[in-house]
Amino acid sequence: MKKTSLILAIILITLFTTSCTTINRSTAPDSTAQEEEKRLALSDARPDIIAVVTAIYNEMIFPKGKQGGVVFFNTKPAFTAPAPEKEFGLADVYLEEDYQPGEDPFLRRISGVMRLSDSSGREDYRAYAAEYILQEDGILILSSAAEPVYGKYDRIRFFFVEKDQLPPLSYIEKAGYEELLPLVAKNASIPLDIRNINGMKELYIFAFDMTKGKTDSDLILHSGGSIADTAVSFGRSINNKGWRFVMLEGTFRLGENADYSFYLTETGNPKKIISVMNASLEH
Amino acid sequence: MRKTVFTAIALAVLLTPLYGQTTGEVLNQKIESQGRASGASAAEISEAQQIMKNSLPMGTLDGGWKVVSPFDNIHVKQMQLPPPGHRVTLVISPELASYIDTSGPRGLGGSIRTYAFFLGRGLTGTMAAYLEKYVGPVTVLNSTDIPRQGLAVVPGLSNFNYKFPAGILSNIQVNLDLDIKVYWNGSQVHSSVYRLVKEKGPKPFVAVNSSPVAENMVYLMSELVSRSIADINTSALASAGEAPVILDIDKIILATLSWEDYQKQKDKLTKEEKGLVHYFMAIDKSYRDYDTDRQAELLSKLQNFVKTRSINPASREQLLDEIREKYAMRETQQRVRNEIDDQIFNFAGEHTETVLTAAEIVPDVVKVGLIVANPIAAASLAATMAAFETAEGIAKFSGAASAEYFFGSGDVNEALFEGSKAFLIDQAGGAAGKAIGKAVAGRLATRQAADMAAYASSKGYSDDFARHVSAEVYKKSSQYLKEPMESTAQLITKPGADLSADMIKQAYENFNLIESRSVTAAANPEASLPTDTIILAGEVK
Repeated sequence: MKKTSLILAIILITLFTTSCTTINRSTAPDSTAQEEEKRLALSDARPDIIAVVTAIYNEMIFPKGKQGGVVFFNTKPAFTAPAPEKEFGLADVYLEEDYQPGEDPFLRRISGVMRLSDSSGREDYRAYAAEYILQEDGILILSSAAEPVYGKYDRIRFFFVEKDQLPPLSYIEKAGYEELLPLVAKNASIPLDIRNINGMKELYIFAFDMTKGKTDSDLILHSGGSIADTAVSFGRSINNKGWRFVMLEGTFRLGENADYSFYLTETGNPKKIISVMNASLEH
Repeated sequence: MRKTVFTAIALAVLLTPLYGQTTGEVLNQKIESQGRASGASAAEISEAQQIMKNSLPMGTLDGGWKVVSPFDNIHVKQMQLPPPGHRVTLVISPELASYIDTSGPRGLGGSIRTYAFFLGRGLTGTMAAYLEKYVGPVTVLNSTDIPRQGLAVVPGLSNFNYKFPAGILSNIQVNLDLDIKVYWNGSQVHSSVYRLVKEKGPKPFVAVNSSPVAENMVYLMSELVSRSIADINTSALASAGEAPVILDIDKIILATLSWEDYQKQKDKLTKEEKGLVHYFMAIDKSYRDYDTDRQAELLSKLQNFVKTRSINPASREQLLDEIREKYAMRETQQRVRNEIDDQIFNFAGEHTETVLTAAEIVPDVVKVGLIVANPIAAASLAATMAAFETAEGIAKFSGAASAEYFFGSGDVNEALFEGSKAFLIDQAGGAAGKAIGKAVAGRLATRQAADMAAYASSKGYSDDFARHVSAEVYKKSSQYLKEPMESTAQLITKPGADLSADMIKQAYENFNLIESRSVTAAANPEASLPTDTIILAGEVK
């Protein structure tokens, strides 16, 4: 997050120096203004923060959309990555900074993270920063930027599907994230049933990262058990434009008698664990 | 009879030329001859002669018929100029210092009198007084030599003439040119001519009389010198101090008309002008909001800005005119505001529950507006709601207005769905739309603004000020959103509601499905991978 903030700060500084505005912005935030990141429910957030973040979100999703309402951009926001998919709505706003950068009480600067989600529960996190002026007729955003946040909010979900509940491997091995997730979710076994299995079981195992990641970094699934615990006949890690999952076909020891863990890491830093799941399926 | 005689004599005096006699003698003769011709008695003629004499001051040269303007008094106008601070030398040539005009008026009015205007004395005293007040400590130098060091002002008078356009019952009308040259360290830095053209003094009078003429000439000399003093002040600042800021007040006012106007003008405005636009927009806004306290606060700051900044005199005067106008508008509004406050107080007292309910709904209108503007948010709203663990949480999020939908079922999962749907339908198309009447919203907004201002004041200005402004934007937002919200209410309540409900339902079902069919792996970003693991999928690059 710190690195992301630094990048955003550099973007904003660049924008400030090229902007024609003359608002004083030299004053640094005091220490009391610096706050820890906190989640803002829409009902609790200050309207100007909601309006600014929503405007940045709209610019990301609908870059050719018409400006209107109460928020205006002096300079278009700077985005360092492709826009989120259009079906992703603004679900949450996390606020990290919110302060008055100069002597002008109408001038505010905010930064934080916005959580975007779609109806299948996927999430895309974007760090944002903006400097804006509050005025009687609305808000003028002097400069703003947003960029993806990777690695901080990864949320992995494991599904266990009996082999006869899915189409043949020749079909599903070619399917992408968006096609597979609902298919897998619909046909997966209830975890409690898996936990009650004694002995080995032929299964598909899927691990979906519900949060968008880097397009050039794949998941790696490790087993802490022996080959007697996991006999894998097919394993693949797939990255569909940042949406990552792994799929396994094989025979697995799971539930009460399983005494090992699955570990998820990613390329680039393969020794760093993203998440871990006990094969007993009990946390 | 007396009036008739007096008028006839006065007319004769005005029309009769003088030949080698004093005005007193001529007047007495004329009064007598005209009186006899009109049949007046000796007593009446004598009385008329006394009336004329008594209305004129006693003189020294011709038995009481001379009009003298001695400039025994000095008048200095109040002007808004930067504080004095520069030593200045007033260079008056000996000829100018002793300049006395005795030329007499143009035209026939008052032409039989003799006059003495001590203009050199008047100019010296008036100019010295103005310089002392608005530029700095003055040294009067009776010479024609310009000092080699420091600031020097060299005045000159020319083209003095005057007349009494409507006879002796009129005011004096003066033409006079004042030539000003300003020197800094011996070099001329400014030169200009200031003119009185047919200028009348402020004091009316009923006869050509020394007292009102002298008094008017004091004011006229003050007026003429005042016209030059701003430029002298500017020259002083430019030479010896900071350069004054030039403001285009017309452009500033134009930019404050609307947000769009500001957008169009902002690139043409200087930093100071932009700052003033902000102030004026804020003042206009608080005027529209009937927030007289805020107006007073902003106007006070503006006044302080004018006092402490070096501003071009012309701009300063224009700016002060604007400020005066805003003050006048505020005073008028304060009276109205007091009446409205009484009405609101009575209204709130009688309808406490209504006011409180509407106050809770207003924020929700903004949220709904966001959702209406961006239907995609409806789906994510459901996902957001799923993050709440209790029906109470959802109720709090979506507003008290639809709380009954959540608590009614007693089932959290059911409440999630029903609550989401109810939130959209009720807030966007139903009760909220009706409850936010313009009057109620306006009253609430006014109260909110007042409350926030008081809060900001009690807490210290800067930090909490944003909350106050935020509340203002909040209200503005609700105004913006009210119209589209109402216009789409039909859409929302019928097909729109169905669409939203479908989206919410889908999100809710997906969430439930994934939640019930999967296991969440625990995040453990700090731990290192054990050394003896087997890779099942993916590869280390």
